[in-house]
Amino acid sequence: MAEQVNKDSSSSKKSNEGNPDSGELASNILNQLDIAAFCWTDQGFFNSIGTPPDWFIELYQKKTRAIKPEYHEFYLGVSFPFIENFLFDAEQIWAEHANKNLRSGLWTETVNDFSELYLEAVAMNANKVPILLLMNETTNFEIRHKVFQNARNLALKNEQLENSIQQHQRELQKQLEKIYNPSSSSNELSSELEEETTAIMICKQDGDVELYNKALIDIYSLSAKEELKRQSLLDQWIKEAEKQYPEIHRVIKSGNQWEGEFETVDVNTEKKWVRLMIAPLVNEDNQIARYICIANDISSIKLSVSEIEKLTQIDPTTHLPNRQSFWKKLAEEIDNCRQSGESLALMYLDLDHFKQVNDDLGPKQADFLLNTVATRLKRCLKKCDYVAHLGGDEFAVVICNFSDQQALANIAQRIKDNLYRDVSFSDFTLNVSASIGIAVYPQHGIKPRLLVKSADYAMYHAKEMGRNQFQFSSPYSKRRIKQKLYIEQGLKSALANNEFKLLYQPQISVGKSTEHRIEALIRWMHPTQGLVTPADFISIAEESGIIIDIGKWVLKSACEQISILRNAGIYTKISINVSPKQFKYSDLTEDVRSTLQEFKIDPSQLEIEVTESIFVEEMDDVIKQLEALRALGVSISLDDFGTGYSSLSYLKRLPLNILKIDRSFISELPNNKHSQTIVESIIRMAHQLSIQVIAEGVENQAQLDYLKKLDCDFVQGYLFSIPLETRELFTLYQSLSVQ
Amino acid sequence: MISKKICMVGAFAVGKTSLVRQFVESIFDEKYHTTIGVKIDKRQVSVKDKMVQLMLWDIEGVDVFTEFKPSYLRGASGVIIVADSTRPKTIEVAKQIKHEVELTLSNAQFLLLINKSDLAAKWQPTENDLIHLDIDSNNIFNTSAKTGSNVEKAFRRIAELVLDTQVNG
Ligand SMILES: Nc1nc2c(ncn2[C@@H]2O[C@H](COP(=O)(O)OP(=O)(O)OP(=O)(O)O)[C@@H](O)[C@H]2O)c(=O)[nH]1
Ligand SMILES: [Mg+2]
Repeated sequence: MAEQVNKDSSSSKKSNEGNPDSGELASNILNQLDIAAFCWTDQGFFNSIGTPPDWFIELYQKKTRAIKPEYHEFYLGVSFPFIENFLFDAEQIWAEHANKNLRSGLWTETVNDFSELYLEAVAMNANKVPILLLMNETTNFEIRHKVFQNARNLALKNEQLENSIQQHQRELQKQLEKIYNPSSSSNELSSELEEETTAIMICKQDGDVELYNKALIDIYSLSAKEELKRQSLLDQWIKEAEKQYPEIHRVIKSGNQWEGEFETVDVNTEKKWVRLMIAPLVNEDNQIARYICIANDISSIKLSVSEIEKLTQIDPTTHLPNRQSFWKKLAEEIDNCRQSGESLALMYLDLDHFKQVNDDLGPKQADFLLNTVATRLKRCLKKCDYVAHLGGDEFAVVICNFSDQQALANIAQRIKDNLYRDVSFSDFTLNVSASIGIAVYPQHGIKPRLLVKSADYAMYHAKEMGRNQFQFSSPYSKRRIKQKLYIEQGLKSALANNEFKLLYQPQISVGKSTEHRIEALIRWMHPTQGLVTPADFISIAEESGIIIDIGKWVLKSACEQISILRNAGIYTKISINVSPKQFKYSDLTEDVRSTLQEFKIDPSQLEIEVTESIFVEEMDDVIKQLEALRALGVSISLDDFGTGYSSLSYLKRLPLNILKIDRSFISELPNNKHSQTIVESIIRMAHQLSIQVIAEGVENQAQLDYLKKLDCDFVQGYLFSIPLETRELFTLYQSLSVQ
Repeated sequence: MISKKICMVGAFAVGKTSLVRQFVESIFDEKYHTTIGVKIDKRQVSVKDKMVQLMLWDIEGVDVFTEFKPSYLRGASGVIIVADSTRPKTIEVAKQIKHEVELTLSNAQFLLLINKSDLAAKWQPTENDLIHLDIDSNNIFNTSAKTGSNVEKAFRRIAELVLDTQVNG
């Protein structure tokens, strides 16, 4: 029996040798890593995991004046005010039982006169046990400190340099004011000022240069022989500076002194930063006689500052974390979520119409706006949420603690409401709004890039839907936006690649008219997407302005077709659709006139088809253009009549030849009473105004019979013909002539 | 004894650490040794026959890569904002920090120290600065950590101010 026990114990000892106690092992590892680890107890003390490292014991003894810490119990909050402060945040982490950790940031403890410890505390949960780690960073500290020290020394030096340049420029200005006599023509720079490393220029009000020194030549890399381009430099400076200092013109013209820093280009078009002072010099009558301009090349200072900023991860405008920092954070958080199984939300924000603000107000005001947005954003989020400024007008928010989609919607709504308020500038106010896209890990992407893409698409979707709103990522938004981007991209080259074509749909006379008419309909053969219908690309083309060129192409192709048909003995009118943008942004009448001439076409063979939307704005101007077109001899038709702003009364004012009743009314004929009344009254009223009528979308005999009864002039629809390719059009006309 | 937490905040290299060292140890070092994170020092002062222990939180300066961390402020009764009389930019940082502190602490006392008064001043607070900072002129001091000028006075002043303050935030 005894033997048995012995044997057992020896075998267990043996297995321990091969696979030592994991608690001891962990404690040993922690010691080697200079980490003191504790379990938090709610009795206010901490239980150390294993024996803490010596540095900790020594520090603890010093702080508590304890001879030797008893057991494994440590009262950290009481002895270390820094830890005490950190515990507030740590307790939150512990209460959540989540697999998260929180770092305190570094702090310094003095052990004795000669040595300091650099420590950082980390709060975390391990198997739901609340853990506090105290990490001794003293050995790593030196490198970290060196980086910071160097950067700050450099920044300090730059700041001093900038200050002394400023001071020197002011002194030079005073000196020049004293010695320069505006009424004398024999002014000269002393040899001292000639050799001065700061550039000096004195010019007349119109910029005509009177005096300058060598340093100016140096800044602008002028060759020795080359004369300083007279009259140009002052103008150039003002233009360059204006981008950042919109007020410069006013300041100078009003006789005030101006100082600032901006980017300039030398004769080799190389970019440089200068600090410039422009001070007026007045004559006896207190009139501005000359400008004293004093400049220093500060490129090296600016360069190092931007290097420092790049090194670091803070956006210099808003002081929010920048794009780099955002990617890092997102990757970290996604990692955390993968382990803990929690969700994470990413909100992508883009200010609405920021480009306009930037162009209109200049970068200084735009920065102010961005700063305001940053502050408002921070205010409506919790401390634990993360906000970054990705650059330009884009911001991102990472939210880790949320219950469900509704909670996110609430946050997004709060952001939206908070942003959507006036921003007060010194002399005006402006309204900001943002479009917000929301994507959730893991539903909408499990990799940072995918998640960002989803949020970006959703943001784009929000813009599409009219801005100042938020949208969650959805398969729909992704598909829709992707397609839109495809289309936007594709449109740019579609014309050059000959991807458009026109189809022709006949309009058949059912009344007295013997006229042959066809409507030209555009189609786009996208190289990868296949056939794209106008509904899918016209609005995008209008937004981007490409519609103008497309319109010209349609006009030309239709006219060419008219002339081809005529040469084949077929005399028909072709109507083409024209966008409101063509009225607003191009000289449509002139385009039509010259194209008709180019193809030697009888103007009565062309018809311009417009929709009611062209009348929304500047109706008088549009009417003038329509009249000019009619004066050329082309006819005008109005599409989609009855759907939009239609009022029979305004028909009187319009120079129209023909009116197309929208297919939605025709499709309900002949049984729907309401449609009956509308169609009937449109036709009657049009005829009273000597306007002809076309019914669109005629698909069956009953509709046709009914329209005939009402004296409709033309019909168009599948009952007669679908839109045809040129070749089929020929076949159709040939068969007609045979009949 | 009453203990009060006082935070030293401001742009980098304005002299926060130097001021604390001058006040606590009467030492001044010309060499710039930048602070990373936080260091806490203490000194007792007697105000109106009462002893107060000032817990001085010397917090790293704000620059392009160190943002202001409001979590360090918790429980502070007083905040000493330091600017550098030779660097005009530092008053801008001071204003920004004041604003951020106010978002976190609702009931703290503020002091503005315009430090390095032993050197020729390059700027003075403008009317506009004072409006933005909203600090009583009695609580603004021109100090020098180097000569010790006004240092003792300033810390005594904050001790007086915080003595009757309830901690919030
Ligand atoms: N002449 C003069 N120099 C000072 C004074 N106070 C500080 N300095 C110097 O300014 C530099 C920065 O001082 P610190 O006390 O380290 O500044 P800080 O605000 O703690 O800097 P960070 O910790 O980097 O934020 C050092 O070189 C100091 O010697 C002062 O009153 N007069
Ligand atoms: Mg310091």
